[in-house]
Amino acid sequence: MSQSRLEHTPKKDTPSFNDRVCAKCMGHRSLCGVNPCPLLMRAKSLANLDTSLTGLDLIGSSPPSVFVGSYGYPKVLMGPLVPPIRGKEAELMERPDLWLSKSLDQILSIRFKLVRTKSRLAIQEAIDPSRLLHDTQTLALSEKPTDSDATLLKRPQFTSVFSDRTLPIGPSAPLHKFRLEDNPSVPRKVDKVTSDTDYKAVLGVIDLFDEGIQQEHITRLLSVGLLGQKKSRKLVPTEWSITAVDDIVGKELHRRVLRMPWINDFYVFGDYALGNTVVILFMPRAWQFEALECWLYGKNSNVISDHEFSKGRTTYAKDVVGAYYATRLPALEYLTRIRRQAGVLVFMEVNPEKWVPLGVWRFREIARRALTRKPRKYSTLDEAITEVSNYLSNPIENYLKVSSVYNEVRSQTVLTDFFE
Amino acid sequence: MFHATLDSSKTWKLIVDALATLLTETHFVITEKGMTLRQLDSSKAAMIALDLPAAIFQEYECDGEVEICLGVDELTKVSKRMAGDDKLVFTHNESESRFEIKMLGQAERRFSLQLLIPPEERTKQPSIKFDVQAELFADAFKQAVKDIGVVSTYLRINADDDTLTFLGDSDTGEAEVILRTGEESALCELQTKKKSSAMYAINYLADISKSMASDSVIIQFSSNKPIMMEFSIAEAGRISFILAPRVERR
Repeated sequence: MSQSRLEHTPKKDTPSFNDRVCAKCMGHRSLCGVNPCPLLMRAKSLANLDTSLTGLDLIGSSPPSVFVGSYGYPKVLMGPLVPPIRGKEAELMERPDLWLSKSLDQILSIRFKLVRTKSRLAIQEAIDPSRLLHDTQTLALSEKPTDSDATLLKRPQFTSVFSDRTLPIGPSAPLHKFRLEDNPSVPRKVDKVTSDTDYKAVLGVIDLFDEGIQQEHITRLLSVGLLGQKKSRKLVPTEWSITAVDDIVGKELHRRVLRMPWINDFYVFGDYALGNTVVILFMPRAWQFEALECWLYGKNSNVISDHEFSKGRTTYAKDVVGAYYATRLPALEYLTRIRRQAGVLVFMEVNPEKWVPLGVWRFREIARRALTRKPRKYSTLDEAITEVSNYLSNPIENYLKVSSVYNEVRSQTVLTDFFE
Repeated sequence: MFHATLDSSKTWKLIVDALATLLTETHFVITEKGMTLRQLDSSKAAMIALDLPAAIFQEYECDGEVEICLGVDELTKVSKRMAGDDKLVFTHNESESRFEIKMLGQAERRFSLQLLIPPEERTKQPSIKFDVQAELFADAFKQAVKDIGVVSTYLRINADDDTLTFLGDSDTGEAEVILRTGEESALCELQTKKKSSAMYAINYLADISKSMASDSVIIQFSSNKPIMMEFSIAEAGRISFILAPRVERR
């Protein structure tokens, strides 16, 4: 068609991707009308598959990493992610906490080396795993890269690249055979929790977290169905298990934080990485939390928010979704560390010009990095809010206007003010 | 040493429900005169005060002062197991730091709860003077809170010499409930030292009004000051809630 040829070559000054639709399209709905998708093209060039992969045999060290899709649930496409390379380098591919200092292209090229293998399994198969699933589960137990050998049915192809919650996913191909060549290195606690088939998944996740197991590792275990009581074990799509782990650990820390005394000042933390700004404000109050997220599309961009008061929430944060749980966890981790209670506002700003969907981990890791620094302390809310606004490019009023927690703090008085 | 019996498990359930509206931990102080509790909720915006004189218990024995700190979740779970006609026996076991609740009915059931460490500071009953005192049917108050809750997240109370008005508004609309003194009115008594108006959060009022177990409730407040809602339990006992006001944006 002649029309599509015209659109084929975007004008010189148009950005390589459309700010407004790329976030929704994630590279597989061609909403911007440019075909082929510039993001996919970039991914292909970064991955450099043609030179690294010949034939259908894939021999390499998995980081270790497993992806369980959500499409078609309860029959999902799952399989290990295997790069066509061997060795220690693979470990970096599944460690987003080490990526903040890297550039977007570096992150994508690291991630796109991984080939996602797929085979369709019913989620209940985790109760009685087949050989393939068993090997995948064994891989997931490991904390270090493990040599493996996969035979593919087709050459890997880029289909969908990005998801708003999971790490970027490289090319994928249906899986024929998968075999581990090496013994996994399993931390003792992981072995204990996963082999206990009478232990509930929630308790298992909390135990592993307290033991200091990497969060990606716990997510992986939950996702391949290695946690929980035997008869209720199942495969969990990766994007769901990420938020599930954030929420399970968050709920437990929330319970602990409620018993702690309030902080005395207003604390402000802020950090920026990869086109994302995260600012965290702690207020001397009972625990309450609100996540405010804003995409900078222009002046006065829309701010979305979800909040909870001291009892926590029982329904899903359906506006901010995964980012809500991903930022609540670091805030609670910080409060547990300093043994104090506070009300927390998290301001997130995303600059679409410098951004591709990387997954919610970026908010979690930026927040964690910010919280390792010393807080800026203020004695009044107004001073603290001014400091917060220094980090943000969208006017602070737009955030405060929609914030339920802020309005509550401003209007609800405290009884002790009235006691003589 | 503390030992007491209570004939009606219903009374105890109502008490536990009232405590559970605001608290996650209960901190009872027990003396020979009776059982008391004064606690702020976690946001420090509301307070509950409970007074159970020794007279409401059938048997009552207490040497010195005993502090009992229990988790509300555990208390609620135990009280859910009580049958309507059970007789309750409370015992404090100092040596094992347990609080024992025995239910005597068709079977003798014993629950022994782990005591928590009591907080270092005790909340005192604040001495606040109020300009308005009103006594009204608890049901009328509950309905008023629900009515205003339809449109608003806060409730404004206005009082003058013979009327008590509940107001609320939001983007969606306004609501108003008017109570006048007089025969057949739900408002039994109204004393106004001066015209007053104050605003309170509806989510707190809704929770608090749910736990009102008596027929009538006494409400006291002043302009932009806390409100106290007081009702009796088991005749001689008393539960009061104090709630800090909302103010126009500071």
